Amino acid sequence: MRITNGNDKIVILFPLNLYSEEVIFKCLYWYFDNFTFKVNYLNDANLEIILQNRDGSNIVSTNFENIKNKIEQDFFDFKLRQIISTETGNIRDLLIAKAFNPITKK
Amino acid sequence: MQPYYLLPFKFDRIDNKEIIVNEFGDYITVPDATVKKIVNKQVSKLQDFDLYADLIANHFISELPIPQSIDMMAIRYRTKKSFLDHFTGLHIIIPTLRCNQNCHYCQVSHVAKDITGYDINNDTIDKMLELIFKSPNPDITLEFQGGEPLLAFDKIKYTVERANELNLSFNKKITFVICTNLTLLTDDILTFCKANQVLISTSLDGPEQLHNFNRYNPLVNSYKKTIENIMKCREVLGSDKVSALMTTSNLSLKYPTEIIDEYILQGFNEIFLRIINPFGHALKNHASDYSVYDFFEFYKKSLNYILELNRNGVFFVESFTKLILAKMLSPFPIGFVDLQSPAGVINNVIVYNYDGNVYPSDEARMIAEMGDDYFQLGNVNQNNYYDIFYGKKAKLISENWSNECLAGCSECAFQSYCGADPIRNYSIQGDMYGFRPTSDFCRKNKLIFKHLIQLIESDREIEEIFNSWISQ
Repeated sequence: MRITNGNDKIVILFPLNLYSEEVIFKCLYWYFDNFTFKVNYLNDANLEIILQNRDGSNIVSTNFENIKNKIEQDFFDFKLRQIISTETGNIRDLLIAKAFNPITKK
Repeated sequence: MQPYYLLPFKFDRIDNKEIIVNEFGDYITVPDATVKKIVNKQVSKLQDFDLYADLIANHFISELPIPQSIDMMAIRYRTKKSFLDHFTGLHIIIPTLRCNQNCHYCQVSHVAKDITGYDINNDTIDKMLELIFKSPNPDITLEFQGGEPLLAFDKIKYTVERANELNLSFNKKITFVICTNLTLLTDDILTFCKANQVLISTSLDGPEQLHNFNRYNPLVNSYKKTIENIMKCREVLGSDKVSALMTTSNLSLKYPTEIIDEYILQGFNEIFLRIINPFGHALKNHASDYSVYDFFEFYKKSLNYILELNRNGVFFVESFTKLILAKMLSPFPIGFVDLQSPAGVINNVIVYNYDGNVYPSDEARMIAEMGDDYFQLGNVNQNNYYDIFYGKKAKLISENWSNECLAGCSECAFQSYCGADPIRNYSIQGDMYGFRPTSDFCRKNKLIFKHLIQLIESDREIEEIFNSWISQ
């Protein structure tokens, strides 16, 4: 993932072999209140997201560093969540199925 | 390295730690970067024995693809959702919309006490009771709200007597509650409440000046009357039959310790710090013009003071905290409808308005009184039980009432402590699904969950105090 600052925008380049669309959009969901987004599919392998402040203001350099760190951490966390979800999906379904199985008297 | 398998869990970050929460709400806090280690299967049974043991014992990992404890885990999960077992237990009845006070934060719509046409009639009560007794729940609560319900005490009396008569066939456990400002209490009303074991819930916002500012009564000193009648109720009904609630207005934010001191002075050992709902007069009079962060500061100061009191030997509980702690630290569900998934609306609570209209919650009724009848489920005089509880509107609400299925909630570490509130989402954000990044409900709850976990982790004595609250 590469994050760059373009004065009034933040540009994030995602290699799709490392970050699925599900991870990307689940993470970006939490930024929708403060940012607008443009999504560009550069090619089959890369996705570009351009973030701009919702109020139209420029992203100053100190803010950019904070935002960049937070974005990196958040995307990493959502990737971990996806791994957990993928690996535990079946066991979770089994758990819930067992939990709500009707109880029958023997 | 001993291989292991992941079990379902969620995580978040608090300060420089990570909190991991399993599918039924057990949590542990671990150092930063531990989740990555867990997910990458780098936790060693030998070198990270304590962590490994914690993860196994708390069902975050398993040494088998399907853990031996899967049946026990299923029972734990089922127990957490057991509030669904019996369906609607709390039936809120609005016998009148009339009120004799003009509380500036009033979230319900009300009309002046002398206006006619806003009281429930006996036919509607009969039809309403027919529906109430169709609930499969063996334990029901009939709670009278308003307006000021004592203005229609004859209707309350009729309802209680009819319900007791009907219950001879149904044999349910029935609890009656009247939510009243107590300014109209008489000896006759008290005698009736005593005979029928009716509980009283009233409002006490704090010291006299604050209470009277919030809850203005044109004819009497609202505070003095309320206190006088709380004492009377206690004398006749018993101290455990009378409770009080406060509402946090803009002015209340300035007086956290004074409010708590007032509760102690009046003999209460519990307070519920409630954020105001943005409906009705609260919206018009800007009584709810404070942010979630303002409320959180008020909550922290209040809780801090309450913990100090407990340390000094005064047993005093904050109710909202206690509810959350029960979810975090006990295997059992709670009966608080705002923090349930599936949501408490319809599943646990239903509201019958004076005109027979039925709503899934009091907030839905307030929305209707503001001109939007979207959440009306039906009318007791026209619709049957299945139309109302399982009808098209109920089904629409059900599509949005599980936080397991909502964007933002489905991955949240605090999902099992929180709830879904489609009515609030609709009212504030425009649709039942809601948008978590701007949801004050989400913000407030997350702030409080994290704060409580920080407190528990920081001080063993606080953990003991919290445990004493939930084992009460």
